[in-house]
Amino acid sequence: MATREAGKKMIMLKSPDGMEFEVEEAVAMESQTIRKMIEDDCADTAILIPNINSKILSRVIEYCNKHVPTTGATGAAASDTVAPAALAEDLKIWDAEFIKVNRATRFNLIQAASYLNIKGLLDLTSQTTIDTISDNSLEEIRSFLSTKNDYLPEEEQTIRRENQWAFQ
Amino acid sequence: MSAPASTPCGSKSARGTCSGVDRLSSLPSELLHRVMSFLPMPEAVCTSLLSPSWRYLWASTPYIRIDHHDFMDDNEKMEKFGDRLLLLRDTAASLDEARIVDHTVASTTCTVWIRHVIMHKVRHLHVSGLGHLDSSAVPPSNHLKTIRLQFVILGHGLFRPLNYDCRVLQLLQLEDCVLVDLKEISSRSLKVLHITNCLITGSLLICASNLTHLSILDMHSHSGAILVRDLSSLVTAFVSVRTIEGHALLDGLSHATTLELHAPLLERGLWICPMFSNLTSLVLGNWCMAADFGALLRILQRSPKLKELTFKLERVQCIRCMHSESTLPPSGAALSLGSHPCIDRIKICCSKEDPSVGALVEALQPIAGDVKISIKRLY
Repeated sequence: MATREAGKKMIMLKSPDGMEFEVEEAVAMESQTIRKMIEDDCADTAILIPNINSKILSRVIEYCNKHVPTTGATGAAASDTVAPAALAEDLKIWDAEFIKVNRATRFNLIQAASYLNIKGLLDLTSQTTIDTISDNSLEEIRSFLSTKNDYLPEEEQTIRRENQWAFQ
Repeated sequence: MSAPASTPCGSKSARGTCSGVDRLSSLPSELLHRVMSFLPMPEAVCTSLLSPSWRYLWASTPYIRIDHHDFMDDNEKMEKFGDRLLLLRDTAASLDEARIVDHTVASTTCTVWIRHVIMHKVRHLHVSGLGHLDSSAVPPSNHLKTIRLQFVILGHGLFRPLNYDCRVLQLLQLEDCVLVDLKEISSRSLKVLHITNCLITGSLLICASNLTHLSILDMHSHSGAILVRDLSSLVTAFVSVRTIEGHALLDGLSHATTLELHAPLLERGLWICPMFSNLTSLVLGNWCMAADFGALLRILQRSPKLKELTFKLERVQCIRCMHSESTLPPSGAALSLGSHPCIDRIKICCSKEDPSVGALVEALQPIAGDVKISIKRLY
């Protein structure tokens, strides 16, 4: 949970399970959805984030904290000494570590990133999902997604014929 | 990545409750499309085999990608794929983005694909590596907002439909293209224009009256190939050309508030320099030091509101500067401008051992007055 720092505007985010998170306005505004609320003056005391439980919300805040551009009073010094390329590389490593979560958490993160409109997080979660399923056979992917093959054998043949043009 | 063992789910109705529930399929199709967008298009079509809920998902993706990398350069396969994809796709689904990356398929086929996606209201079009593109590829559109073309030969009046028939076109990006006898870019909706490493035959006039951002990085074309006029809405401009011939290019930039200018072969100085009456931030390269800082002096005299002045000194000095003795400290009167009224920040970005910095700092002293000159050693 974020602590209050002098001179920085803080925003309170509430999850539906009753937890409250105090975050810097700049961090919260990584979410385009929240940014819009703040800009439209709909965010006086606290913002309730529906459908995102405290566990997921805290991860999302962790992500935003890391990705908020380091400008302003405290950040300027850091960005002046560290080359942008090194910073991007550091972020990439951090992202890779951050996304090492189980499937359920990842899908929740996709939903949260979509609702809160955080492009970077949505890209990260989507790409990771695709990485884990591509290069696998159809059966492996079905098994990974726990999707039952609801096609009858003849149906599957029909679809194969139907989309033959796309199969390598 | 280890795939967990399949969880036996007895029937469809049991799906929602068993622990290995297919969470991905439970996402709304908008999000699934988003996840699918990271798959190559042929594989996205193949997801139809996963389960009935996936069967037609590919057909309504808000994007289309036909990319030769996905076909190991197999022309015939790619052509067939592209045709079927456009034919079998759900035409009622909105089309946000179309990307055609191709180095082999016949131009006529690609032209048909491009026509098709524009007629199906695509908003963002990206074409790379198509042989030849002319006006027949661009039907009128009230939806096309951005166009990015790479490695394309543009000709035969292509800009006519872009100027007049694409009413909401806002961004045009041309990279490594050849522009054959195209006269002018005068779209009234265009806000952002990037021209990078293009070869321009004849001359191209840029006179888009609502353009706010312009970048021209052109070291190939003959001097005077690009003319700029009447950019009354211009805010930022980045121009890096071999030489600025006369005033044909600079005049059009006179409304900019932020300007970065590089012209290593500057011949005759900037004797005909327009008044940059809005300019507050200016970035210049080594070239401005040639001819006893004549060019620098001229621009500063003509930029009364300038606040931030930055120099980006390249590691490889421009030919003109190296052969010119005038990169030595200016002889007396060169920078007799006196202290500039508004400048409050001067920054020099250069390499660790750039020899010309000393001369530049010395030359800047009279202009700087009390303003500190900060030097940033980048590499």
